[in-house]
Amino acid sequence: MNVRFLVFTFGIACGISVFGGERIGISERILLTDTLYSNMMAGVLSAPVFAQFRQPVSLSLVSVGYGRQSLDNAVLYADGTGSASAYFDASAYIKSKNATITGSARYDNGKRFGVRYCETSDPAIVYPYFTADAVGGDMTGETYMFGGSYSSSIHDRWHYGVSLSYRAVQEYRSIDPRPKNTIGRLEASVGVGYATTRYVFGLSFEAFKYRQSNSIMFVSELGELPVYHLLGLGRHYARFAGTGKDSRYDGWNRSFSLAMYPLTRGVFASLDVGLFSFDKILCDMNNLPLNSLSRKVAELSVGWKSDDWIVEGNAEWQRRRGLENVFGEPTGNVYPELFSLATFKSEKFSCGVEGLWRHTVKNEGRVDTKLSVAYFDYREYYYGTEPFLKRDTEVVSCAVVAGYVHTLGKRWILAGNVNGGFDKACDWLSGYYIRTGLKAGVDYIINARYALGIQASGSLRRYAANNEGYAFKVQINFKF
Amino acid sequence: MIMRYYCLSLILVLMAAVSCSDRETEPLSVDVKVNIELPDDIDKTAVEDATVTFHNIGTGLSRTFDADKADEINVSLLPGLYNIVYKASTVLPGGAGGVLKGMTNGMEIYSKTAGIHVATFLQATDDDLIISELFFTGTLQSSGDQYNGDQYIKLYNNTDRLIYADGLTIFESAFLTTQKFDYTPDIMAEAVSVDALYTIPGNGHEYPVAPREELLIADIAIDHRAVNPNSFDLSHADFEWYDQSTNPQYVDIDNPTVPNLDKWYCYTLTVWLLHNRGFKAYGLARIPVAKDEYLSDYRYTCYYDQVTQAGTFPMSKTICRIPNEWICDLVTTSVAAEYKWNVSAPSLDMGWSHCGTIDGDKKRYFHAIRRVAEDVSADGKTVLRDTNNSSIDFNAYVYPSEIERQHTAIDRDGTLCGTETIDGVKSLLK
Repeated sequence: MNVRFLVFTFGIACGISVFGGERIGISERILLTDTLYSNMMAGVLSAPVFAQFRQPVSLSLVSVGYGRQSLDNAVLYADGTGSASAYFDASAYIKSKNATITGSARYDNGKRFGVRYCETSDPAIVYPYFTADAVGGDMTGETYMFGGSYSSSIHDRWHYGVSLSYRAVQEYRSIDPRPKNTIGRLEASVGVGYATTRYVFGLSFEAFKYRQSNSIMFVSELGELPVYHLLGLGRHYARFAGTGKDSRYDGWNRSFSLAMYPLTRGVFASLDVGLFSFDKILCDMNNLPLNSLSRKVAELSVGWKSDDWIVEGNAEWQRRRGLENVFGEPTGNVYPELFSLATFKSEKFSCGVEGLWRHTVKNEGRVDTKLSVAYFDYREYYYGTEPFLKRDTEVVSCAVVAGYVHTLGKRWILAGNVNGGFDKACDWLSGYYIRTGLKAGVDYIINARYALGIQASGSLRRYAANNEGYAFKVQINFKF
Repeated sequence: MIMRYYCLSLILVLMAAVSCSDRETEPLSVDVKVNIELPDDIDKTAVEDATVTFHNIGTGLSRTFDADKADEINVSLLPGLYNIVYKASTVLPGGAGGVLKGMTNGMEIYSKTAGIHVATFLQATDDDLIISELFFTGTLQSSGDQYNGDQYIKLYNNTDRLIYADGLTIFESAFLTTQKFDYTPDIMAEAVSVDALYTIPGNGHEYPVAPREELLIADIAIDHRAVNPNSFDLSHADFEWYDQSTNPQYVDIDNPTVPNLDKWYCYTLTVWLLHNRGFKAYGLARIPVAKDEYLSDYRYTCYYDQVTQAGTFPMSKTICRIPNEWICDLVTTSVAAEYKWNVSAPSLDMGWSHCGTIDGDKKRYFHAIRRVAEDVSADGKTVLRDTNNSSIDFNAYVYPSEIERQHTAIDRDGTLCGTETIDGVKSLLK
């Protein structure tokens, strides 16, 4: 299965690339695309209708790599103390006449270490409604992801774009407690745009369907452990503790965005509004709908783009509202649903400014510098106790990256950056960590169309309370 | 112009798609009036130290409100499903002290709840034998297979007078505490539905139990170590229950040196075992009528609906019933993960005890429930707690007294028990 998937994805990447064809040499294409620049304006450029503006030239990439990160102590029990994974990644970005085609495929095989109080996968999505036990352990997992988009224009006036992607995850543990989680996420988006002489205005609609199935099994002769259904801020649904080892999350997201983007230089802006909702269902209790959660998100970003620099301001507001369903006395194993209580609420507000400056040195190299500052405010409430529980987090974070790309003769391209900053520990916890990192890579130009390279990055994190961690990644790239 | 109209319309449609209104929910606090129905001869002014405790079944949290000298209180609560417990002390018309109790289970409290009614009763003064220990889980063989033959029940004379055990009936509830149906007619306020009754033989003065002494009733009164080295000796039991099985694959063993209980009724045609996961209630009763009369006149046919994913099926079954006033003691067992209800009136038992927390808990073996030693009598004997609430009357999930006394195995590997306690918790040395 895995081999077939790898061959399939490699074939897709190569096929699209051949179909596209590109007259500019590979070294120039690497210089034009492999930059921090493409990470900016994500609010605008993530929509398929703007896909043609993500990169000025075609460039496809096939890479294999290995990454690992580790912490002395888990910052979030649900995330564990670290992770390690080997992956195969293929992505294509092809410009052909006035059409832009993108494709991506990824296979990831790895492990999350020291996960506790959460036997559910994708904890950031289904928070706070985890299924948990008191033991936990490492989680082995595989992820398959593939997707693609097509965008084009009619008479350079009307633009349109569509994209489709699918992500499948399987996570499991081979010792008690033995969760087996499978995730399927199908995402589609469509957008239209209208171009004036200086700007393109776009409207996009995106939707995804999400399903996660969990099953926890115990085979030890020493017995089983109770499983808990968490409700947020340390509480759990006491009535169903010990039951509901088979559960699932059914959700779907819908969001739309309005955006404008300058054809050369000028103002860019985007407004995204989205709603994601899911239900947690206990399958082995006659599909009992235990919890529901809705997440509303609004994101605004405004900035100015020129040839050498970009400045961008962004703000995000997010609200989660979680419901606990209350059930009457059961008849047999059927629990009549009485009513719902909105016991969980969280509100997040963040805003920030980031700026990037780029300078080209004699067509041989390029310097990129990026600075970002952000403010973050998070409030979380659980109303199912008296008095209710509350948690506030307020953090200011800062990050800086300085990078240099240099061509060495006709055959080599060297790239590297230093980065650092301080940031919030996570959405739900107060506290900072300080991060310092290095990234370096080299590409060998095989001929005008192909390049082979290697890239390595590493970083150190230092939290309060003597908690330290590291992360590194090594990746071999084939660019064409 | 038309294009602008279409664009604006599209934007409005998309905004509508993502701006669903929030689902309707209950307010997070509701005010309810609690009406406390006191016994006829008790005046509310004679009620002291009264409390009403609301236990939220969903959250597992409790809130207690003061209800001194009141037969009505107003409370503000998080909506939910509640068990409500009333407790108070009072002075009886004759001047003696008494304890008032009341309980309402599975009360739905939300904005449409008009009011709550809690009927109270005077706690009966127990004047008979009580169940002091239930060992229903059994042991494990070294192979890991469960071994049930060593189950036993201990009775205790918690009074200061001699009591004859003759004619005392041990019974098992017909309903499970882990599975609730709406049985009709509902007779729980008047009687307990039972599916096994075994009575201590005797002419009324044959089997005396001295004050603070116990009576051991075993399933099979033999030295079980010969069959299962991880078990213990029950050959010294005072009684055993014996069943003439109709299935040769499941036969009982009769020790002729230990008297058998008189089997009145049992749901099974093979051998009766205590529910080894602890899903039932067990009790003692003094049945004032003859066996034949009881079995003909005290039957109970209940009707209920079995609701499954395949549909709803009307069901019925005929069992025996024991009026509440005949019952001397009752102990309810369950497990937290599966508990649904108590299968008797609150006046008999307001709580439940357990071995293990989930269904099929493999750690439950070699464990028992033992009544809490609360005091020491004038002659130095143990006084056990008996408040008709198994949750607080029993130490749950402790080593059985027979394992402690015989220092036999406490797990399948044969680890020997090195402790000895009065009630599973308190050390003998103290």
